[in-house]
Amino acid sequence: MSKLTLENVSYVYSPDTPFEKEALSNVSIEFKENRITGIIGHTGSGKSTVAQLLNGLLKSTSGRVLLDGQDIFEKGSDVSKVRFRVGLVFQYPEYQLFEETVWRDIAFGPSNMKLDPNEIDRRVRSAASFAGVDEELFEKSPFELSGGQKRRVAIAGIMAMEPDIIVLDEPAAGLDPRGRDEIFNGIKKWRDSHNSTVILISHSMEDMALYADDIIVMKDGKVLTSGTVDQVFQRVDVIKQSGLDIPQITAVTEELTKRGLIDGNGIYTVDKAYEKILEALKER
Amino acid sequence: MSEFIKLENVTFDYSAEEQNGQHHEAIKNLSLSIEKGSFVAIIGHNGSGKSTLAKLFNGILVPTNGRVTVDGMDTSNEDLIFDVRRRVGMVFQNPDNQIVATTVEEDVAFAPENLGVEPSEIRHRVDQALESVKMSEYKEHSPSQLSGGQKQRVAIAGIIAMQPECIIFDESTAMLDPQGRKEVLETILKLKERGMTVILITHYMNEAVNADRVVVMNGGSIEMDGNPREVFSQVEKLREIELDVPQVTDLAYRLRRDGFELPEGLLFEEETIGALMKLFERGK
Repeated sequence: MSKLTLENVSYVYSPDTPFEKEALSNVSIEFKENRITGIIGHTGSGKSTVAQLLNGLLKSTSGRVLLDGQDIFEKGSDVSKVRFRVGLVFQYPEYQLFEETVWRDIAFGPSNMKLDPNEIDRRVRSAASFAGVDEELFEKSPFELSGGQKRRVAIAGIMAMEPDIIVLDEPAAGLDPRGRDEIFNGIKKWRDSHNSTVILISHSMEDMALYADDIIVMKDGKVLTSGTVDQVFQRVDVIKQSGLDIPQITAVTEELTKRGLIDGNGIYTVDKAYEKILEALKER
Repeated sequence: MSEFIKLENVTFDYSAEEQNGQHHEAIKNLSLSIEKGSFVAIIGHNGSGKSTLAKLFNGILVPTNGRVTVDGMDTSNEDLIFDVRRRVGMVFQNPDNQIVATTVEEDVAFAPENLGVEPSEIRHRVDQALESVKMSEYKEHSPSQLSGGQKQRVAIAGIIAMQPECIIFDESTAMLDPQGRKEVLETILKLKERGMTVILITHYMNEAVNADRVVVMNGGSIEMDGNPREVFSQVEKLREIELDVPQVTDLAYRLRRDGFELPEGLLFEEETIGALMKLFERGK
């Protein structure tokens, strides 16, 4: 079932001014429970606008955003409650840390929810363990931490609100391969244990191939194609059309397939490419 | 080629800087020399010492033990530090932290102005620098309206206008989208062609493969040092220190392990497609 739905949503920045710009044009997307959905697109494709519409930070110019079937801006509904249920992790969230200690920074969200102190502490510890923040760091100032650690504290802060849906805008930007894997694996573990809906905004086809279940490719404020990772990679031409880079391994296997040497459309991992090429070499 | 930057038995300990009593040797007894006109990529995960190394190259940090010389000048000699920095410029990670002026051309003029260059000469240098990063048409724009990639190119132009002999890029592409990364990499390659010494600190392997030489840092020491093919062909060793290898390198490595004849250290799509096609033809 669709947990969160964009229904014919358009969004116009600075309407009725010379800077008017349509960032989203009649977009419909369904985000399913217990799935990791990657939204990919070039800068300016509208993907970050989608992120901000999902928790009511922006209000669509037309169309509706539905959470469990309910319009989040319906009369009488409380948007701040929506923000507790849809957690948004911005790009470079480490710049938003501000508390005196790591524990207090992670506890900021749940404290605003007016939970009791024991519950707040439980949530902080649980979120920290998923995000990969060592409890030894709890009493430190967030500003003493490394960039990667700060990023994880910021993510833990959103997880500690235990939202039904978590939206992360480029959570691995600027991290080294190890930092990237740690963050994405933490997000996967979180999804598995909370059955939550996870939405990742990214411009890396390569990362999304590894970590997402479903992919939505955006271009110029529209959805170009969507489906499971396997389905989307069957449409390499469309991905290229969106201006995104396809993984190196996909470029190689597509070319070999075109030349009739292997049967390998839609390959996006080295494992699969190796298997297909080996198979073809043995049959030769 | 002659030696340009030379490190002799360099140790750098952050505790000496911060005086918090904790011992943290970021660089351990390291010796390295960088040839004039070469393009050296330095890779390693966060905390490996690669950024500390970068800051030692132009005297932002001076060694706790050992000696760093730039064109024969000791970086610990305070009388020479301005000459050192004039020869070795640095472009940092965050494009927004490096822009100081309200128009692009003023920003580029900032460094030569500080160096006391004649106004007519400044004009000439600014125009040339903007030309070489392909940003001339934006010279009267406000930097705030530029994309991340464009801002980084302006930052690079600012360094070029100082007419240094070497430019260090300290993860200068980490915060950019794929398009911005491509723009900056193309600029770097052009600088190198024109004889500039280029040092690229990065964790993107697809950038490092373009260098003449790749230095792999781990735990404050040099783990590997060689041309990209030599370094990246050691897939197991790189994995051990949690670094990625290009996907095609990984594929070729596995096929070679199975006894297929492929050249060692394939790095690029085209050459891999070519090598695999030959492999298929050979079997017929």
